Amino acid sequence: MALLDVRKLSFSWPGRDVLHEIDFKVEQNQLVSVLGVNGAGKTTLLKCINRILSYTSGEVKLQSNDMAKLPLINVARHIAYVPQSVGTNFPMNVFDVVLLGRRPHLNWFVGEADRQKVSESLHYLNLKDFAFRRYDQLSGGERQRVVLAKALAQDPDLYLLDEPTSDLDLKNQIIIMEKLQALVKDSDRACSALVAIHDIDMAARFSDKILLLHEGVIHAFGTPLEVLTPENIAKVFGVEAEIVNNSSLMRIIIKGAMRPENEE
Amino acid sequence: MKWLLYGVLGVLGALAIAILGDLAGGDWGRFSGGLGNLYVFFTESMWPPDWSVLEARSYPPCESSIELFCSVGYISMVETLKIAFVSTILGFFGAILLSPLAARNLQSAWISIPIRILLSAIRSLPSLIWAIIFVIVIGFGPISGVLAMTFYTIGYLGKLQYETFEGMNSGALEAGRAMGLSSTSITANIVIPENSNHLLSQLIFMFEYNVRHGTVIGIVGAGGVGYYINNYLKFLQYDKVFALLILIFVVVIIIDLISFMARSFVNEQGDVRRPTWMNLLLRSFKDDSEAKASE
Repeated sequence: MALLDVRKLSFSWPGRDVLHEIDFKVEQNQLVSVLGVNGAGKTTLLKCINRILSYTSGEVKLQSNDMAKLPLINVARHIAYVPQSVGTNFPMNVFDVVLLGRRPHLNWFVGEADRQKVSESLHYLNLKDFAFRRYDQLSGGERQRVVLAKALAQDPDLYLLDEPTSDLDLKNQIIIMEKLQALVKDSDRACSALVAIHDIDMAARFSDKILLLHEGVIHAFGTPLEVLTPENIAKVFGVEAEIVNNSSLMRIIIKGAMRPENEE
Repeated sequence: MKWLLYGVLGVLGALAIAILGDLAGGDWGRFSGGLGNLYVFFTESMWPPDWSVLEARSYPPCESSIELFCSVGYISMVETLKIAFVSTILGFFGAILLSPLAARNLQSAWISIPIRILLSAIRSLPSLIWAIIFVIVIGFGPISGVLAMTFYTIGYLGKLQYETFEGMNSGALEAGRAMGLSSTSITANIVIPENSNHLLSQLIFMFEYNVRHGTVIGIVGAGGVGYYINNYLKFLQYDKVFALLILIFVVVIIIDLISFMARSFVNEQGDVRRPTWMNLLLRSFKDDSEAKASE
């Protein structure tokens, strides 16, 4: 059974269609990347699934629960959303930021189990030593790990991540994606991740499936080998690419931007 | 392009002078004669200022050893400051309850538009008109002044606050919504704390504004220094009026300076990163505890 089932989801701003009849499924313990150019609707898709934005038509089901019918607090118990970057003017320490992830599960007070969950999340992402450092004084890579720890503490069935590697150096990009992959694969229960990302190489390397969005509709959906073809890349991104695939690693070599035929 | 701008400004300036002439009925001589009138009025009626306003009043008897504390100037100025303080604080609480409902990024248009109209309606009446209304309802005295300025503060501060909320980073709000927080919870836990520096800066500015306006509303009998100015005007004691005006000027300058300094702690202007109010509080506690530890 699919963990996430999105059927004919459409969304529009006044006077502009952003998503049109999006239809796809995410299986259990899978990492799915959403690729597309700026403005293709990647972030909007994540926000619609999470109900930060109300979709105009369609259906989103998570483990057979219709998301539209659940109160927001229940949605938050099932889905963790990590926005592109969240700064704060408030001097919060890392432990408190991660503890915010327990908010949907709290009644009135923070219990021992909640603190335990926060400790486990910090431990998992190698953030133990940062627990009482100020969040606003961390580097970009450290902050990204903290917000991922917050999502982990939320104990969700589905992780939605919006460009989690956009501000990071190469090493931190790989660390974050490896942690995310391990989180989804090693989980002892049904749990998946949907990641909006710009880096095609990173998507090819870590994703089980790729959803290629183009002008608000799905251009292709499948395994990286099926989706990342030179034709699809040329059509969606407007660049010439060569795919190098050996047994262990798939690499996309970008040769250059394609120019319109009439341009010299 | 530059000359076009200067040309437009020149046309606007000429238009303003033409309309001014129309308003004056074409009698430009009124402007030149007026200065002479002012000179005569100032030298004969206002100068020198009568500083008896800073001496103890003959009645009621002064019980303080310092004469100044029983003077009209001191008593009325302190009353003005009290009115400004109470109305700023009460107005702030009124505004902070309404402004999250008026912010379009926090509420639907069905709620935000009526609240905006309400705030505009409150703001459209100057505090002087509010003072007249409350003097009619409650009677003469500082309570009318407090209520008048509280209402005006709600309208004015409410607008500043909802504009601040609308300008805040949407990421923090989305993170709150993604956590399933209710809009009350988002306001209390995200919106107000994230904007605390702006809110405090506006609060201090409003106090300063209310001190300046507190001097005016007394003229309609709503207490404070304006009440005494009005009385002296009625008895043509312009030298005392002038002394009180100098007093107001000095107090307003002092409040302006204090306000400027206080706001500089909560404002972040340009590249200068000043400490936040929270840091200041924490640092002072930390310094205290470190001092105790070293003893």
